[in-house]
Amino acid sequence: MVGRLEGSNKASVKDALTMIQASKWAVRGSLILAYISLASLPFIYALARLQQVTGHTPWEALWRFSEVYGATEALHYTIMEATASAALTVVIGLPIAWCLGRYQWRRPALFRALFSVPFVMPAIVAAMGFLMLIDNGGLLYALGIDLRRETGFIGDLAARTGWEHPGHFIALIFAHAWFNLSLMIRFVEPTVARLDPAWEEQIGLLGQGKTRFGRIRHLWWPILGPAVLCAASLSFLFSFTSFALVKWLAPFNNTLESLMASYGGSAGIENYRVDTSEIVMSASMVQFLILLAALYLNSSLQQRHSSRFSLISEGGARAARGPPNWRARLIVYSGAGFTLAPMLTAFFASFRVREAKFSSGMVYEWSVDGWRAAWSGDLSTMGVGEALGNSLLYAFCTLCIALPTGWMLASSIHALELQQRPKLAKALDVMTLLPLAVSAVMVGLGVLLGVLKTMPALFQWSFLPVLPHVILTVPFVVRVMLPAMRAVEPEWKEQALVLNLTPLQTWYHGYFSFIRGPAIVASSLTVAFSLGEFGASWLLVRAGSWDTLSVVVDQLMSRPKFDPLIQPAAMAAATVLMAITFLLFFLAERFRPEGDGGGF
Amino acid sequence: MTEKAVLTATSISKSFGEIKVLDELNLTLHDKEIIAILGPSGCGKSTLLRCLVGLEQPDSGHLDIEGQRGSEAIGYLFQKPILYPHLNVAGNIALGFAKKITKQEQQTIIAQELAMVQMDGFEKRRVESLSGGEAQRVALVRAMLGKPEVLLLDEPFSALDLETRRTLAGQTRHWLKQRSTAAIHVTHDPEEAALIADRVLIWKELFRSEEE
Repeated sequence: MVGRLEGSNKASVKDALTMIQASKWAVRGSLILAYISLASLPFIYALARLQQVTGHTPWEALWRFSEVYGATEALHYTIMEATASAALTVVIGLPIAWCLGRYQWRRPALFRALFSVPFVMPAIVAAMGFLMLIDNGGLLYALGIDLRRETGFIGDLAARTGWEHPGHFIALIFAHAWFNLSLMIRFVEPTVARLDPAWEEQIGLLGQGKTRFGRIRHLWWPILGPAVLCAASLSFLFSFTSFALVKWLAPFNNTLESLMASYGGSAGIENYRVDTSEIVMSASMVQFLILLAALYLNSSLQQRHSSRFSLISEGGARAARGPPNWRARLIVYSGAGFTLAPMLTAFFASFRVREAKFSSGMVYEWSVDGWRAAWSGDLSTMGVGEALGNSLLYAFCTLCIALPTGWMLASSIHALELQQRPKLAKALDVMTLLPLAVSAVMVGLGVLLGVLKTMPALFQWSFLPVLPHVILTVPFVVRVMLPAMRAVEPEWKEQALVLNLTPLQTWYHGYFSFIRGPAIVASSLTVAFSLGEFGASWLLVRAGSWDTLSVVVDQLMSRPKFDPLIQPAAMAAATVLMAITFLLFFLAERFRPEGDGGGF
Repeated sequence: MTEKAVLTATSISKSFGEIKVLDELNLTLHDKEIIAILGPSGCGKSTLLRCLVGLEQPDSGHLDIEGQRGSEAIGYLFQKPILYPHLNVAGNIALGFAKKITKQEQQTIIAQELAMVQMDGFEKRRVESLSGGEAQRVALVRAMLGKPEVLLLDEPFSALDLETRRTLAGQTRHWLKQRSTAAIHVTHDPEEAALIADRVLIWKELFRSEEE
């Protein structure tokens, strides 16, 4: 057709195509700009406000970090716990990922989903689960391991070494490892599960592959090393910014995030507690720089973690290796127990009510009174039903904005890659990750300050928490959608084109049908993260009255426990949040493509 | 041809579930001899080689091999060359060294071996950039590096074009003879079998008893 066009006609068709392309990019460019502004403005607003209050520039705040009260201790503790958490995640997660991927399990998808659930579980729920596990009457306490009050051998350890609160530290890093276990499974297990057994057979037949060390050095480390480091760096990152777990499991220690959260409420107010503004400003700058470095490292590792190795169907690879041996079973079943323990403990704790008679010591009974109390609420705390309604509404609004935004960003990055503009693609890729480098507390504070400064009327707007939720969930949508878009072979679209399908049919059959599954996964993750988001909501709703379910759990647990129904009610609220997240995640898992790994 | 046997398989049987792939198979390979086993796709040729090299265990029968199975006495060339993408050509070949030698010595040997297969100067090339024939030659060099008594070739040229297949079959025979290495080559292509082997065996013939 085009071949028959004469000179001037050819030129005009070319011009028209160039114009369409240019206008497409103009729309994309303005949307990208809008997103970057949305993502960066809260941070900039927060910094500008803090600069105005303290009289220091961000760089001066960075230099003054060591002089700020509690900051050096918080940084030290944050680095210690994040490093230990990442290392523990590798120690626990790698054997599970290896055993799960290597053998022919009856229901590998079920195990995979089970190990992935903690990652989408709201941090406040995880905190409650671990608290119930270690607290007086919990399973670990019953086994003689008192991590909460630090008596027994934990107390001895503290006394002998001078280490303050080792029990809290141990509980915290195990909780982080529990939370990040899915990263190890998601990154490592699909590669192990789908690696062509011929690669392993070949190395075993070569001189350098005769020993176990040789096989690890020449085959397994090059294949799995980047994936393990990638998962470890993300684990470090999430442990570094963790807030709810630190608040509840290590109450006597501060991380940078919890330090900022503690002082965030009074920061940014002129002539009032200027020291708190200094703390938040300095801590946020240090945190930003460290997280930026971790993200850069993660991005480089993710590029190395590619599928250059020959991958075959999961069923074929598993069948070649046969059913699991007793050691593999022990590792995977123990991992499943570790995953389920905090969730089940929180669930059972919602029915366990302390009896109000102290004559014969602490007595507990099983009842649904805690659920009744949680559902009805009281003067100071919203009922679970109402809070759930708020949470779902926020989650739905977040989904409506975050999914198209993330999709657009992912498709723009992919389009740049296809146009052989890797540097621009990489820059945009890293930019979409930036919200992960900013603390949720800073995002909340930024939104609060930004709104106060620009449109104070907006402050009364009940949908305000949606804004930080969108900022914090878009990076996850991009992380899920981008690999899926990269995996769509152009041949599918070409095949649809030569079948003379309509443009809509071509798009559906040649493109959308391949990314529908990941889009559903991204949607469920967005909803789950929005439901469980705590840091930003906590800061914002303290100033308003739009409590979410995660905030209600925190409010209930923060109240004095003289009322025996307080703790069961908090656990009931946490169970509701847990059940919804669980359900969402299991529904989404059905749509996840086979061998999908290296992402969330 | 010398009569010394380097590999003798007697009444080898192997089943996968209900499917009997090898049923009382007999085979003898003599020193420095190259034999080709000709059979249709899916008949069990690869299973035989996997049993010989130790990747599969036969259900019954007896194997008598000069040197142990799975050790460097037997080399194996897969149908699809398995070259590790995180290593360049030289790195992939170096995996074949059975004993520790210095880097300098390794480099010298690798350069000589590559020259032998007309791939001089390919040491630093990325394996993804190699053609099918080049990749298979690198895999061959690596398999020969341990100086095996017997080399098992599992249809290594089947994915290549006709011209390359013919050339490589002829060259492989030349290299094997140069090193006096005995080999079993399995294929479904009669022309390739004739080009490479001293003796061509038809798959069905392997299941006749010695008396027959």
